[in-house]
Amino acid sequence: MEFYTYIGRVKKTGVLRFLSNMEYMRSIERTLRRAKFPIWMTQGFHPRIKLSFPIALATGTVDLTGFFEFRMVEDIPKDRIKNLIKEFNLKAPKGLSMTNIWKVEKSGVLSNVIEYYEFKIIMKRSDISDYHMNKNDLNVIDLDFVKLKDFVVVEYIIARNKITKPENVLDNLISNTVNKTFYIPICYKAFDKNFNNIVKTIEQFSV
Amino acid sequence: MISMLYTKTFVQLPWASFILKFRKNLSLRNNIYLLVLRVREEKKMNNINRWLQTSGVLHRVRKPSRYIGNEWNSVIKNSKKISLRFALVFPDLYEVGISNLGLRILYDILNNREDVFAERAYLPWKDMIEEMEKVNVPLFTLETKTPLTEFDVIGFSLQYELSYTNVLLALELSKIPILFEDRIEREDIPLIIAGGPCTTNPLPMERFIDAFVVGDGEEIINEIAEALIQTKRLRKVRKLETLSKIKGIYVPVFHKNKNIKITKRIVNLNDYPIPTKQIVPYMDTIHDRGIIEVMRGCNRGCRFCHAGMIYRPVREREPRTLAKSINELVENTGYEEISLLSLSTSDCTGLNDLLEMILPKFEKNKIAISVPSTRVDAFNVDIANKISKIRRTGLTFAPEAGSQRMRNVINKNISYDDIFEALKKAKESGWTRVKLYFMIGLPFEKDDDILEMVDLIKTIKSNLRFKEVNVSVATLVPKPHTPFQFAKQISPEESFRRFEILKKARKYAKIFLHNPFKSLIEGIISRGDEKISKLILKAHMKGAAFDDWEESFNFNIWKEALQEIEIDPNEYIRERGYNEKLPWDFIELGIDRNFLVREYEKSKNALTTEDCRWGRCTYCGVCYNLGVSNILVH
Repeated sequence: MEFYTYIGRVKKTGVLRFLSNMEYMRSIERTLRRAKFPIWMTQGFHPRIKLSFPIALATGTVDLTGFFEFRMVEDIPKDRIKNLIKEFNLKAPKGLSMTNIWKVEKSGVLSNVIEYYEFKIIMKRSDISDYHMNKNDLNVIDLDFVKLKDFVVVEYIIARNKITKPENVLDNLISNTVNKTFYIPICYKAFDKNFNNIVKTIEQFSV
Repeated sequence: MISMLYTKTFVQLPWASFILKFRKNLSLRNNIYLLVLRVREEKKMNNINRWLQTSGVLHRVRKPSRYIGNEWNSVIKNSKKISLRFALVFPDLYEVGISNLGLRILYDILNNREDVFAERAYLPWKDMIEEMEKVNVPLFTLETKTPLTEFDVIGFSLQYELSYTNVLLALELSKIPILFEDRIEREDIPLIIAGGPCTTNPLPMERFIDAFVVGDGEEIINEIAEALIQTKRLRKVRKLETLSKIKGIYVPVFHKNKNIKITKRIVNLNDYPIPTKQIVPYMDTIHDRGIIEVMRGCNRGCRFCHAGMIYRPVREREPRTLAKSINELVENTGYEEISLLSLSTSDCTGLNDLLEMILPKFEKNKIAISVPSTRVDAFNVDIANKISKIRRTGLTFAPEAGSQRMRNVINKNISYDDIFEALKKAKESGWTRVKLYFMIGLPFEKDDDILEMVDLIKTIKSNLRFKEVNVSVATLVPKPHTPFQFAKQISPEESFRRFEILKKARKYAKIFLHNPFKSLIEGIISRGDEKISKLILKAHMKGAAFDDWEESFNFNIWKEALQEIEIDPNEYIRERGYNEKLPWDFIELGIDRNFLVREYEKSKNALTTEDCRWGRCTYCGVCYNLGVSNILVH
């Protein structure tokens, strides 16, 4: 069966950040079904939806860069795409929302162009006694602490193939064991190899 | 920027873009964080919700999506506008409880009423329990994260005996006194009721539960809700008195004198809508699919089968309404698989009609259908092929016994040829793996019968050339209200001895033996009396929980508990006399004692009894005792 490749962008916020990557993908899949997207399924004994994420986020991470590739059996005009997004958001559980869909020529765009991700981790300052800047073991590119009166925000950029659990990053940076406390890791932005915002790059590829 | 982001992750605030301009102003950013946290904490979150979201606990426990709620189709109501708050509790993990059909039905019926708000609670796993105990957080519901003590009534689902210690654990976690006598004077503690198949012998649990509901829940749940709304301002004793007057409810404190009969409730399924707004869980649950009950009850009359006796008579649903509901279910949930559930779906007379109605659409949308509980004799390759065109599911058969004599003893009513033919056809249609269920310790079983089991497995592997054969073997646990309620249960030692014989089949198949010690405890509780409540309490105090989970079951705890309260297990697994008064006799399921005796006598002589749907009446008594009859489509 013929198919057309699309890139969708979703956000995972609120309590849904505690979904594991599998659970996240499954709930997107089921929301797509509820919203009656004309999805393309793999052939064979076990037909499956083709849904691919460029990375697997650690459980507990807020995802603002939920780009994923999927296939539909129809070539959908731009105005209908808007309706589909609207329908998706009506049928999605609170905390999951779709912001955009782009049609692309061929598959593999995401994994080819996304090179870096920006993460931010928010913590309560009262939970932390001591922290230090030590990015040597971390493979992070740009590491920054933003100190506020009550909060500390760790911001870093990391290459896609070196992504590690936010928990590990914190373990390296903070003396007292941070995984016993409250923190909100956020996958914030995705970039291509020239550090351009990935949305612009995807738009170049979209048809 | 971060402020905006933080507000977005917690609450959507319209002025987020405004803050962007002040991103350099750190103190303002800090204030925004505080504001956001405080607004959320004070207005929307109760203590438990705040603890869940801001203590980091969900980062520390395994599978945190068990505890977050917020699933699609879960219902949240304004609790100020309703008259009765109902907590439905499944005494096991989320992934087990969410799969249960009974609770899906009750959740639907209760929340369709404007005056009732039903919420769900499941037992958290040990890591979460530890976290909760550390900071004194009680067991809470998923919808509004409310402690169970704040509800008007708590309903437990008793599905299997090994979950009884979990019920006690759930009460303990909720800070509710476990024993009934400690609660009866406490008006601040909700009423504790229980339903499900295990209430057909309520005695082992009667010290812990205020009222037991026997039989189908569809009709009675409304009666309970209404009775409790009317008696809302009355004392607990009066509430229980009102409940005790409803048919099908056993209230231990009002029914002390066991001369009474508690008659089970029966409904015609066609009078009740099928729940189609089923909750879609995030995590991988044990039955991660939509459930449609096509039929309730089964008259095949297998002599060991509890469900086959307590859910009589057979009641089928109309294929047309089923098809409509299935389509609704698919649209409401987005499930990619729908299970046509019943005790024996291939017996359903309307199944072909139903499949004809739904298959074209399902094939187009690639939605799979699973038909559990397929009998070998009814295994219709056409049906199987039709279904497997969409998604090929596993093939599971339950011959239960190896020799023809034993299959007659249990009244399985299938022959060697049935098994062979069905598997041959399945093999020809492309299945290469098969799973088989067997039982050992059946009454009148001899070693030769087990050797025949080995032969059967060998034939399936060698002659039919299945690539993979998985065999699951369990020890028979005689259940109340079945013909085998009179039978002796074999000891774990004897189970192991018989299993040794079966091990010869290891060359041909992977064989798994269900833990015989678990079967022993299950057997003691199943046919237990009031004394067993002491055993359950003792085991609970010694830390028994999640006994149905192989890695959590600790036989030593139970052994010690048995010794300490001086209960001889043999007393509970022994053979019972036909004239003996049995602890569960006062629960009236419509089945005549004489029928059970007749069946047990027949099994001694390996004689079979036909299904009354296509044979003659077996005089089990259900129809004339309860004034009902089979409801068949054809």
